[in-house]
Amino acid sequence: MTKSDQTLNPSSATAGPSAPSMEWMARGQAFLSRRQMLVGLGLVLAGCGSTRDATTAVSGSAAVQSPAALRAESPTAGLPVDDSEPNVELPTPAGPDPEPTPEPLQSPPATALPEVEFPSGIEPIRIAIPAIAVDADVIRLDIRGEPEVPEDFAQVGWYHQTRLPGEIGPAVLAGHIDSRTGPAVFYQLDELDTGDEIILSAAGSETRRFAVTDTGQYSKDALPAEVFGFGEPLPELRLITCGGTFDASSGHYRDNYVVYARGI
Amino acid sequence: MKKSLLAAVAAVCLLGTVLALPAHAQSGGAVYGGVLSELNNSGASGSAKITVADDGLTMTIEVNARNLNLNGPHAMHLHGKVEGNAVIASTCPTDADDGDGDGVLTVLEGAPKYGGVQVSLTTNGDTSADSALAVDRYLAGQTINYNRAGIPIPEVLRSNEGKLHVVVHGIDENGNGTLDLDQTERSSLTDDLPREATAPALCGTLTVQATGPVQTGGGGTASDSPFAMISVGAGFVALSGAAFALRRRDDQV
Repeated sequence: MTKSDQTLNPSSATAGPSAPSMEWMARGQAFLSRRQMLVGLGLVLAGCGSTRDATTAVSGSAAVQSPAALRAESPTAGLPVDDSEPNVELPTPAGPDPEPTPEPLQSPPATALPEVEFPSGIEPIRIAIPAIAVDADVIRLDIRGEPEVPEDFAQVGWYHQTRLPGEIGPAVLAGHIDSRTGPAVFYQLDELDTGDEIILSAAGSETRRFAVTDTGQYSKDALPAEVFGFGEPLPELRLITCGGTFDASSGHYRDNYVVYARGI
Repeated sequence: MKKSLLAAVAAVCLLGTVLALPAHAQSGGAVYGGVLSELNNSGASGSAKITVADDGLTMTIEVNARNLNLNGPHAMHLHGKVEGNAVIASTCPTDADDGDGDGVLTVLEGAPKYGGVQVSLTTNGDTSADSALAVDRYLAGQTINYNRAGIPIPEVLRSNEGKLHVVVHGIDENGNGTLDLDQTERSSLTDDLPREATAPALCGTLTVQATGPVQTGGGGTASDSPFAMISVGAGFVALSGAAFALRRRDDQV
C-alpha cells in the first residue's frame, strides 16, 4: 500500500477526477469475479501483503460476471430483512464454489484508494528541554498496570507501549521531580511555558521537536484519561513528573504534573 | 464467504509474517483502552479495552457500544496499518474521508486511515482477518456488550496493540433501523452484503492505560517531606552531569 499502487489502471476510472477511486471500485465489480475482487480487497484490508505482492498485475482476462449473477448466488439472499430478532443467522453456502479458480494475487482494485502517509517516529535515547536546561538520557520503560519509573533520578523514561515520538498519537515520558536528597531531572518541569521546545533524539541523531501546548496537575488517585489517552490525530508528547504536596506517610507526592506538547 | 479465497489471503498473510520474522518484545499484562466515536451519523457511542494476557500471546477484548442505529449484525475488528513487521500509528477516519462524496463513509474509504483488518472480534471460532465478513459470528442489535478472552495476538501486533483501532461496522441508512439486504448500494468489500452492513458506525484509537499513578518523586525537595532536612544543595551536587538551575518551588520548598 504505497503510492505506487495508485498508478494501477487509472484509465478505467470513469468518474470525475475528484472521486475516482470509489467509482473505480464499483465499476471494477462488474468486470472482475467476486473472488478476484475479494482477494485484492482482502490483501488491502488485511494489510499484510507487501507492496510488491499486491501490485503484481492487473489481469485483463478476468472472468466477467454481472453483479446480478453474483447476487443471485449470494449466501445472504435468504436473509430475513425486517425480522425484529437482531441475531441474524447467515446460512453457509453449501457445495463447492462454482466460480472458476482464479490466479491468486491478481487484480488489486482497492489499491486505487488514496494512500495516507503518517509521520514516522523515533525511539528516543536523549531529551533536551533548553528552557529548563534539561539534557538527559532516555531509557525504555514499561506500563503493565502501575507505570515503571527510572531508577536513575537523572534519567527520563519513555513508555514503549505509547507512541514513538513523532508518530500520530501520544508518546509519554516520565522523570522524577526529586530524589530523597534533592532535585531530579524534571525538577523544573512546572516552569515550562506554552511554546517552549522539547527535542527528542534517536541513536542515529535523528530528532523530533515538540512545543508545549498545555499543562495539568492531577491527583494521583484519579489520573484523567487525557494523560494516557488518544487526543488529537497529531504527534503528541506528554511529560509526567510529580507535583503537589508530599505525603510523608506514603513516601510519595500526592499529584502528578503533566506537560502536553505537539510536534513542530 | 469463500473459504478457499480466504485461505489464499491467509496464506499471503502467513507468508508475509514468516518472511518478516518480527522480533517484538511481548507486552504481557498491559491494558489498552479507548473511546469509540460515531461515524456516518450512527448516533452511537462506546468504549473498548484490550487486556493482554501475561504470556503476551492472547488478549481479552471488551467492546461496549450503545445507541447503534442499526438493529442488525455489527462486524467488529481491530484495524491497523501494518507495513512489513511494523505497525504504523494512524488514526480513525472522519466522515470527511468519504472519498466519493456520496454521503457515506464506506469501510474501504476508511481504510487509508485505520488500515486493514488485523483481528476479527467474532463471538466464536476464528478471530483472524479471514473472518472479517463472517456476519453470522458477530453480535447484533443496537447495544453491543462484547467480551471475549483468549484471542490470539498476531505476532506483528505484539507490543503494538496500542496502535490499533476498534471499528464497529453496520449502519442504518434509510431510517428503518434494520439491515436492508436488497439495498442498491453494495458493500465496498463484497457484493454479497449491502453497504449498510459494512460501513463503519464507530471507531476508536487505543492507547496504553496506566492503572496507577506515576511515582516520580522522592520528596527531597518537599518542605513536608521527612527527607527534606537533607540540603537541596547537596542533592544538586550529587546529580553531577545534569544541568539544573536551582530555583525554589513555592509549593514544595
